Amino acid sequence: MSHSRLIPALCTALLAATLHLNAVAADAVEVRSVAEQEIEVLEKGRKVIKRVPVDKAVPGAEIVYTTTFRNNIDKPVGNIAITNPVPNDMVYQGGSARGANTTITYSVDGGKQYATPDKLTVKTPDGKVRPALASDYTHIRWTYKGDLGAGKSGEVSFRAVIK
Amino acid sequence: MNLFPALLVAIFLFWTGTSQAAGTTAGTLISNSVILQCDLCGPGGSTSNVASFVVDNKVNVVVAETDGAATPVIAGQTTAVAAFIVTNQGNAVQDFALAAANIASGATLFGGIDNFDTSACIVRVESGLTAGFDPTDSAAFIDELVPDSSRTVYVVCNVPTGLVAADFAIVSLTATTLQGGAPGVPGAPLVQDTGADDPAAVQVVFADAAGSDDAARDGRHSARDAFRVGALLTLGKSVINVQDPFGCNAASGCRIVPGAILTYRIEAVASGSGTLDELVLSDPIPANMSYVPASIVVDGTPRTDAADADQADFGITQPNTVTVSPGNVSAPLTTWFSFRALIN
Repeated sequence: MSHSRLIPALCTALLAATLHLNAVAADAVEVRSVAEQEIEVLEKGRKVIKRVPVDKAVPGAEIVYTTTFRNNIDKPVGNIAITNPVPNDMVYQGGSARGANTTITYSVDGGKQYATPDKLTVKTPDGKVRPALASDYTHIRWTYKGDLGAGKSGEVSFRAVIK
Repeated sequence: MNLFPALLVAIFLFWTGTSQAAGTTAGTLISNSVILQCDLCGPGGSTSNVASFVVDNKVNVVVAETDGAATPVIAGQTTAVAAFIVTNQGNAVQDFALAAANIASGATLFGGIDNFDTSACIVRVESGLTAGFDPTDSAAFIDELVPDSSRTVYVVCNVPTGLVAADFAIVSLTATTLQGGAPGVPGAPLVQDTGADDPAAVQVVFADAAGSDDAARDGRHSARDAFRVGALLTLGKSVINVQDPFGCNAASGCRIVPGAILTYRIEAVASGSGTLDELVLSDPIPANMSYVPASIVVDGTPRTDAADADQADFGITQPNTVTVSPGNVSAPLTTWFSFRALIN
């Protein structure tokens, strides 16, 4: 066997091994969550809303949760779905979920089924069915439309109030 | 036995307030984590970091006066009692320090104008054993009050002598939030954390409103009550005679058996000064007894059972009740009435 054929074979094998390691070790899409509050500050004499890390976490305080996600590989990624359980001891603020290029649905049954608000119902203690309120939601889901390009990022957010 | 005008103060024992839920307990960890799924993400998808913080201590105490009226007192009275309710509307167990103060002359409350100070005021917390202020109420601070619950607190003062009817004193009660956690011992005063939030630590945030004598968000609350000098009514009831149907005898005395006739006497003492307007005294006939007709005697003079000018009747003003209406009574005065009833 000539050396010239062996070296490309070895390189190919090494490259394949490296790619395999990349696919397992790091997530194709990295996702990060932050909890913040909005405060009003004066900048150049004008009132401006700023987001800061959670400042005073007392019952009744509103928290803004922001999730950023980034495509870390060199190919577009599709079928992206971001699922956020409503945190313990918090009440989701209806209509506050945001996310460019996403469809937003909610679950009221612990994350088994998702639907838009108009289709969500819950059972009352006496067995009747009523439309679900934002306070009934257990999970929020953002379904990204299309693909997220290589190296591209996206952001979704929602607000919830501490019970 | 009924009293007109009503001079009783409603006494609340451990009353649970429901006006505003205290909310999530301080120290509770709230965590958020997100899962992202995608076509190239692998079976479990990607999980985010956990974004978490602990719920801080929201301090909110409310002091309220209980009955919307001044407490009637007489000059020289010791143990004049003003009652308040203190509620913990915060989200952690707290102790509360209690302080009473005399309010300066000229202040107004419940239609009266402050013109004297009480003396030697003490503050005591209702123990829950018996209604009203009594020696079992010995605690001078509120210990370990759970969120959304209350304690009745008494401000007990001496009323000076030499006062006249309508003299008026306003007092305040201030409850200051202390740390909870050590039963039986008042906790350290709370200090608000004003720096940046530490998501891992429970910080203190004052959320109280301004009371009658304190500012908003100062960790305390206050309310006022008043004492009005006037006439006080005291009632006493006793059985002054028993007519045994079989005859009283030396061995068994006068027996209280069916067929016996009892004579009841009700004595009303108006003390202090001033007038009790349109006083009406009434006593319903006890169960299993029957009124003996024409047996009402008021201040030694027999009265008819009919509703006429003699200010007494049976069964007319109120069914099955002896009603005596002395009208306007100027203190000091003692009046009494008696009647007879048969045991069925």
